[in-house]
Amino acid sequence: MAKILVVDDDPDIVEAMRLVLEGKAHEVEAAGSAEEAEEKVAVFRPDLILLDIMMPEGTEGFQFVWKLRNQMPDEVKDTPIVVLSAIHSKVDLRFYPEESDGTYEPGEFLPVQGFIDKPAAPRELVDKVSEALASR
Amino acid sequence: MAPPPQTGADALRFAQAELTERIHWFIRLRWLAALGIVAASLGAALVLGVPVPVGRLLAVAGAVVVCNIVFLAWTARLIAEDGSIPFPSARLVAVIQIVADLLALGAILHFSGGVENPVSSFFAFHMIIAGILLPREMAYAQATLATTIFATVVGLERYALVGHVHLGFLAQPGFYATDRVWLVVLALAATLYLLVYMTTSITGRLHEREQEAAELSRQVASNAAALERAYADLEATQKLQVTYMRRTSHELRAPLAAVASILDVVNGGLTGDVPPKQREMLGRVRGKVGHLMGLTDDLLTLLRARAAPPKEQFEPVGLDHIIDNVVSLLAQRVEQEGVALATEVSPALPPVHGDREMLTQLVTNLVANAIKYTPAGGSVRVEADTEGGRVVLRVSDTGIGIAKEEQPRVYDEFYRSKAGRQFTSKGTGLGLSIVKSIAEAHEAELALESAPGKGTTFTVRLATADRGLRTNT
Repeated sequence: MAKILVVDDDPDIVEAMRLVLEGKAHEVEAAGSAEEAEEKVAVFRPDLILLDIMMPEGTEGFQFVWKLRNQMPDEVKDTPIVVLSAIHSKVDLRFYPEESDGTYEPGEFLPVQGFIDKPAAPRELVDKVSEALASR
Repeated sequence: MAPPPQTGADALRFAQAELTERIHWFIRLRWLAALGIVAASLGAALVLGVPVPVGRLLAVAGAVVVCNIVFLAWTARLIAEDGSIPFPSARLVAVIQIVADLLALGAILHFSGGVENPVSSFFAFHMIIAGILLPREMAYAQATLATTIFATVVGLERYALVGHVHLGFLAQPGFYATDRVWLVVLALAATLYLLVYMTTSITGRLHEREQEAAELSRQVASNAAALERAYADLEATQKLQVTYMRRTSHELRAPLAAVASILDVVNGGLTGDVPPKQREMLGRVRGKVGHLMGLTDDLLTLLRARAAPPKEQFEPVGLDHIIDNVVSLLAQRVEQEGVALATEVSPALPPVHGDREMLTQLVTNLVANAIKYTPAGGSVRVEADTEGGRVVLRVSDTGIGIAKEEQPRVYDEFYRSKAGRQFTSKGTGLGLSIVKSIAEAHEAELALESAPGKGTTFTVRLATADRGLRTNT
């Protein structure tokens, strides 16, 4: 039983995942943007974050990861993240920045614990979540 | 004469350069002419014993030399930055030179036998030059001047108004004092005018051609510029189209993914029990949604292959690793379909010149296709080797095959062969379009061999990395 923060701008996706995860007795909180996610992380203190990379502002999911890992308080900065996305295999976007913005080096990989291609079948979602939680 | 601006300017520049060159040529020849006068006079007097007034002829030669020095200094001052003499002055220089030459020739004739001297035909040279270099009227004026000079010399001698030098044994004595001399004058006049007429009409035609050629080259240049603009527009439009379609595909995929997730949740019983009939219907909906997602994925991949990265970004890619990855990714499907998958990769396979992701996609599509269209119990074989300096990838199966008449169409977007559609409903008809686009981006040869019921072999011939680099530099 864990606290899971789902970050996705599509409420339908959030709802579908909430149903699956609550079915496994997890506590689920949703955030519709990276900004909202930052607030929720501090208050909700999730055990795991499911993060959509393609949020409205393009790739703000990336920025969220870096911010969390580099600028957030110690008690939350190591929260495991599983990235949810359709872009994993279909788009030219890389999961590491091509250029440095000062907080990280070019070519450094996104420090997350897993990827789930959308749409995730309920079983796959549950498995990946358990896996990520177990690796804490 | 107001020629069209651009052509006129070009033609003018060209004519100026030509005239300048001829003026210099004239000056060079004049040194020879002066030398010729000296040699001929001395030769006639000393060798042939002809009683010519050598002193006076040498004086004429001296005058020619002096004139030539003046011309040389004058043209040197006139030459503009581009190396040619501007038109008005150049024409003046040419006219004055010709006049001076004609006068010198008149003087030489007078001192060397007048009408008796066949050198009178030398007047012809200047007519040709004037006909080529000067406007028509000026050329005729030169012919008139030459005729006048010759007629004056002959006339003055004929009527004994000036002295006559007899050329001795070279000429008939007393001929100069008969009226028959006018026949010689007439013949020379006719020759000169005809020469001017002929040269001016020929050069006139040449000038027309020149103008046409200049106009044509201007048109070609403007057409090329227009074509370049059109091409740039087209390229921009295509880029926009690709960007637009990629966005659209993304926008389409997101809601489809949501629909699929919700259907999975409902059919997974997470919202309560679903009666069997409804479950089956929802399952069908889920299947269609999956197909639509596959379609948008394939469309995205196809667009990505069409907007391939420039060849400069290609790098050496190990096809052996790609094949290993693809085979391990597809292992599960191979098992599900009951198909045997074998690979035979040459151990010394050189890297190919290409884009890793695109090549992975190409291998994936070919192998997945082979698995999909091979019935259980069949086999799929992936081979890679070098042949004739290229890396050759061969994906063969013992599947349903492609009918001969359908083979040319299998690369068309959304085309699925009849047998293929009957064999499985899965498939978007984009897999081989993607393969073809990727092969084209790599300038790879793509070939297919197939017999219905027997199987299909796809062959891709790729440039090796060292070869690819060599053609790039």
